[in-house]
Amino acid sequence: MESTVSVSKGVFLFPNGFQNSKTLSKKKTNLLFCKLFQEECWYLTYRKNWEAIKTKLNELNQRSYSVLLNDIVNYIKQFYGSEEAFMLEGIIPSATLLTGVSQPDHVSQFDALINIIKDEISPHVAIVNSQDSLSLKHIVENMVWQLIGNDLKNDEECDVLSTKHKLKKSQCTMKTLKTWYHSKYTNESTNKKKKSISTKTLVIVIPDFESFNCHLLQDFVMIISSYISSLPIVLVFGVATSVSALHKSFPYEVSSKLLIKVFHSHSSAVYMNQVLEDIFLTHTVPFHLSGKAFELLTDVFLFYDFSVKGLVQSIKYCMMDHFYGDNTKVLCCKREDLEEAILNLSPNDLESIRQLKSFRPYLEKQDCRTKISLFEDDQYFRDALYKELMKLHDYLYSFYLCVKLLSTLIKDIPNNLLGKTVREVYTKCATECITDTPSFKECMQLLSFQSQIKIVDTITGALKLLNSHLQSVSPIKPLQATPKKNNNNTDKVFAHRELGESFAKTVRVHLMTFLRQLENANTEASISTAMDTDTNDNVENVPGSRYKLKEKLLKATRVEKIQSEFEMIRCRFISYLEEMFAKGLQPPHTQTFHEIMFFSDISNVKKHIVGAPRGALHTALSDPAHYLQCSCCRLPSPESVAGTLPDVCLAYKLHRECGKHINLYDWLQAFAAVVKPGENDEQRHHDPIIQSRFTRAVAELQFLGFIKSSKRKTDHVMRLTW
Amino acid sequence: MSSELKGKVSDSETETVDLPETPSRRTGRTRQKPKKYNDFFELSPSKRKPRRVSTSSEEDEIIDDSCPQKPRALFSDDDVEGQDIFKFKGRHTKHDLQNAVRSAMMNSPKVILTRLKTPKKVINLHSPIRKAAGTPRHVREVIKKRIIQEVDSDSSGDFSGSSSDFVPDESENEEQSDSSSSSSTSVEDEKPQRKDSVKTQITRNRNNKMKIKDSEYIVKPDNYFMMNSSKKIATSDHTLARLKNMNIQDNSPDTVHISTEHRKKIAELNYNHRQLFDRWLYELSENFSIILYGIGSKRTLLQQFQAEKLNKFPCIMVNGFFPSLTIKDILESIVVDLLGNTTVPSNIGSVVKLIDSQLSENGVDLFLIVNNIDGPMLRNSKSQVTLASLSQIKNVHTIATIDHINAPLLWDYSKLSKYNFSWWDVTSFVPYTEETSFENSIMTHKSGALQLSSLRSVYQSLTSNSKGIFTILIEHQLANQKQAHYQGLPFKDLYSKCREQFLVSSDLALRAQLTEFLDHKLVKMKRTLDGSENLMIPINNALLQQFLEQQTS
Repeated sequence: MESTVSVSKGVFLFPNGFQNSKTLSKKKTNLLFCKLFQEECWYLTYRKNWEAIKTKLNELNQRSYSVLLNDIVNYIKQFYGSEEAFMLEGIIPSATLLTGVSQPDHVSQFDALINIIKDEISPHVAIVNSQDSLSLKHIVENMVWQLIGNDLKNDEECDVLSTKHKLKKSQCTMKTLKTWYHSKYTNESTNKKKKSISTKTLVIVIPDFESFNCHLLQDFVMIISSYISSLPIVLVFGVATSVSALHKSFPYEVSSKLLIKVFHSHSSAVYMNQVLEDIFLTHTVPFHLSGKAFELLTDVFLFYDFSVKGLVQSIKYCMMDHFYGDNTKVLCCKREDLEEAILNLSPNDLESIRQLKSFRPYLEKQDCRTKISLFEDDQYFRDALYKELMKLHDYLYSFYLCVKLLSTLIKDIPNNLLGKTVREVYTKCATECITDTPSFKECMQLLSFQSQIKIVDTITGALKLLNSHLQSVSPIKPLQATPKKNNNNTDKVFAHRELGESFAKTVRVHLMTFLRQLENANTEASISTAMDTDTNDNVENVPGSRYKLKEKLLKATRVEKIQSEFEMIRCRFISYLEEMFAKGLQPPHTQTFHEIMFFSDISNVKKHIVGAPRGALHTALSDPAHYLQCSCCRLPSPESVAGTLPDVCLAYKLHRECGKHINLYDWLQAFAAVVKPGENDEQRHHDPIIQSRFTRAVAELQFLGFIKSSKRKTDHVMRLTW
Repeated sequence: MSSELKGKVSDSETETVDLPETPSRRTGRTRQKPKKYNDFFELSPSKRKPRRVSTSSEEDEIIDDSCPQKPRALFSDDDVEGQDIFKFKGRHTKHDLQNAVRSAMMNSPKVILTRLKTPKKVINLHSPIRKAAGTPRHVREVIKKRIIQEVDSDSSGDFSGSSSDFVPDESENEEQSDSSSSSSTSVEDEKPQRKDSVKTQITRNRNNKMKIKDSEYIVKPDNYFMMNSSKKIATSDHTLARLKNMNIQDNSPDTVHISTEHRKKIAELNYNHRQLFDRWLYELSENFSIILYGIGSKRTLLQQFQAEKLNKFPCIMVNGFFPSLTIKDILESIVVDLLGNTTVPSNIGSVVKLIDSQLSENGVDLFLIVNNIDGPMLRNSKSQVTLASLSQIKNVHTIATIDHINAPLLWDYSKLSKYNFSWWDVTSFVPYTEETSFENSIMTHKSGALQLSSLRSVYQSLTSNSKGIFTILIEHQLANQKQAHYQGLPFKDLYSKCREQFLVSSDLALRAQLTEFLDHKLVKMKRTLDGSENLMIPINNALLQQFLEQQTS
């Protein structure tokens, strides 16, 4: 208690046995922090799942960055590479990467850039962050240190130059850089000049252009431009807003020294869609988000931070919450690990699975004997569980397939009733039974108005998607057939499979037949009727009688349209789609044991992802009973005050009744009148306890930032809130 | 927080769009239009507004899609209404406070009983109001009317439209003053009337609230400027000097007043929070930082956490509320005290790199516990950047608390993503004893206890002669306190007075004595135009009086 209270210092160290001596054996210092949860099996499953997602994310990042980064690298290569002839005197070649506003995401992008430059262009790369650049001296030192330092590390193996080049940081100037560079390259490369220079460009990366003091950067650019004749330097700026930021902060004499080429990276929304569609909205990841949860996370992204990193962290948080302390979540794993996981479950875990809400409707469907054995016989329950979870996996497979199919089908129809992207369609599908909604019906209707060419296009697109989906899953296929041990089960499992992969295959067959039919169908009938009306119109329109035209049109509507072959097939196609989606797009919460794989406890997580500190303060101060749950502070209305409230709350409530300025004396009197209603003014003037209580409350309100002292009038404070 | 406001604002925007047109005209116009023309409307964006007015759910959906998307999952019913926190109260009068107090006292049944027994106390309770109600009733009526007129005509004043709070209250006061001034009215007569008044007040409040919800809640920037435009402060002129004993300033914990029930509930809350320790540890191990918010001191909670769960790991506890804390202290204690280096590198990047490499080399996890990461010394961006970069290190785990209402404004998104916070509401209602002990509290400052005590301690160290000199100064100042422009005691006069009392023997000796006071800023020397030096004490007269009384007693 007393150990961290001091009037002379504010930082307290508790080494707790830690010593920074490298002689100690690593084993002892290797503390068990990360292993605190290691023996819990839910933790292991969590880690496994998260690692899988992480590797996928990295792959995706590599893929999405690679095009852009290669462009930049090629651009940098072209300088100092082949010919220096086209270079103008004193002009620095520079690449400007427009990154977009969410800076947290760009750290990994720049890391990737630096790695690729190191691999392909030259080992001399320096990254200059704004936080380390308080003055020009810092920038230059930092840059030179990195450029030379990287090289020293490389040389340490051969240990030739290291003694000579033991630089201090304060010695790092442009001049040192120049001498170092020339001693390194020009001297030894007199004979093979061209080649060595071409490979050793000096690249300086400035990732957060906007946060720099622009005068510093101006000076920095001018200095570099004076060295450009002797040092092959390329600058890379990361700009978050737009190119105009560059032009605004550099006056003409500076920007004329730069040769700028602009590269655009993806906008974060595109990036997010990509991440979500490729990683989280697939059946391959066992952890899934319910519609509401998903909506919250995308909303946080779109309306708060616009950062994919933040989104991934939020999903990670949801996942942590999903798994935390719950052994039944071990079942949230890949299909092939399922059997083992079920076998490892303890009777207690099985019991808690029986408590799941979605087990109830499943139970009610069974007959009496199965019910009893489900409860009594653990082995029987295990089998049933396995069966149901397999079904759930199949369901997931076809669900995501249908979601993607639906989004490709409706991508081009007007109004975006169900949304443009897969994630929007997913949110809708996961929250409710989409096929019952009016917007789905309208979409289908709109689809049924599409022309032949259009509809053929859509189906081809859908087929392409379907094929890739089937391909992606094919390696797992042999594994699916492995649960041969419990033979009696497998038959049933496969008998039940109206969803899953077979579903996808039938859909493919159907789509292909429809495609063929639609392609070949003639649209004769419709055209002929159209022709008829056209000719009639031409004849009748000549008199120009509006009334007659109207009559004509009315008649035309009454005439029964003869459906063409195309229309008939189209009609059948739409009804097939409706039927198929009705089967495949059942919302997840209708499935048995969906709790195991779907995370839906959104209200709990929301508080931790999006904190509301000010709301909590306000609630606590205006309605303390909400937290304290005490009987004495129940208030008739939120505005009312009572003497039993905690002192801070009382002072807070009274201060809300005042304007911008508060008279301390009046405030104190009001406080005293509420706390001790029986006393008169004189008594209150003398009561030191009230005064000290009030003083404390005021001090706390000041600490919380509601008021501050004011010099405008004696004994007044200023309110800082409205 | 801001999102709560945002949502509301957008609601009100749609309202304002709807408002200007009268409903009858609206429907008439749309009905007249032919169907096809209507379709045309939908396509042309410029004329979307009139169509928006016609209300059918389907059309609204279409428009919503074409409009920027709105968040749906972010807001729920149990959010705190932004209006509650941020609303512009109409006009605050000095009577608002009294009204609140009065209603509070009326709500508590005990009070009503006592008042019924002794009508005299009623008078005392309302004494401030009563003083104000000294003028005859008809005169006040006239003045009131004039004020209302002025309020209505003067649109540039700091009154907003619906701020009629004041008027009905006044009439109520009149009622009461009537009933009590006619002292012959019996207690039984008063009882139903009072009950009535309570009822009417409650309903009035409700009405008011409804009214605000309907029309008043449109946050216009004008309101802000209107509130701040008037230079005049419309509060009463009372000062704390009216209190008899405003010098009790022992900030000891036993002055904390918590009722026994609350004490019990607070202990329960604390118990509940302690159940979260394992969860926190789990999140810290996954490289999240924990941030705790909610009213009440969270220092003890963190201490318990540290003692229970982190006793095997190196920890650094930072008191952000400590007034002379610097970020350098924190870095030094990590780099020098813990890791055993000799110096701290100057720029942030290299410090972070150093700590990162040394910690991972040793395979050690460091826990950084920051009480009040929003503390006054940590509010600058440099310390926040440093703390954020420290938290980003894989082997550093940060647990921090915030208390200030505007604390979240400290972080932009790049800092937030470095911190990677998970937010926990640990409202505890534990008084901020340590946190506010450093704070230069308004009340203590205002009451001058600090000045008084410093005065006393300096005074006690003086020789008896200097004490005499100082007393002369005080007495002279107090004797002339009625004077509007008190210039101070001329040096010459002081000298002669001191000589009279045999306090000093020479001009030089007096000057030597005075330097002592001047150094301690107990006395100020002013040179007037004619070259003479005037001495005065820059301390409140009331305080001086108090001091003098203490010394003589």
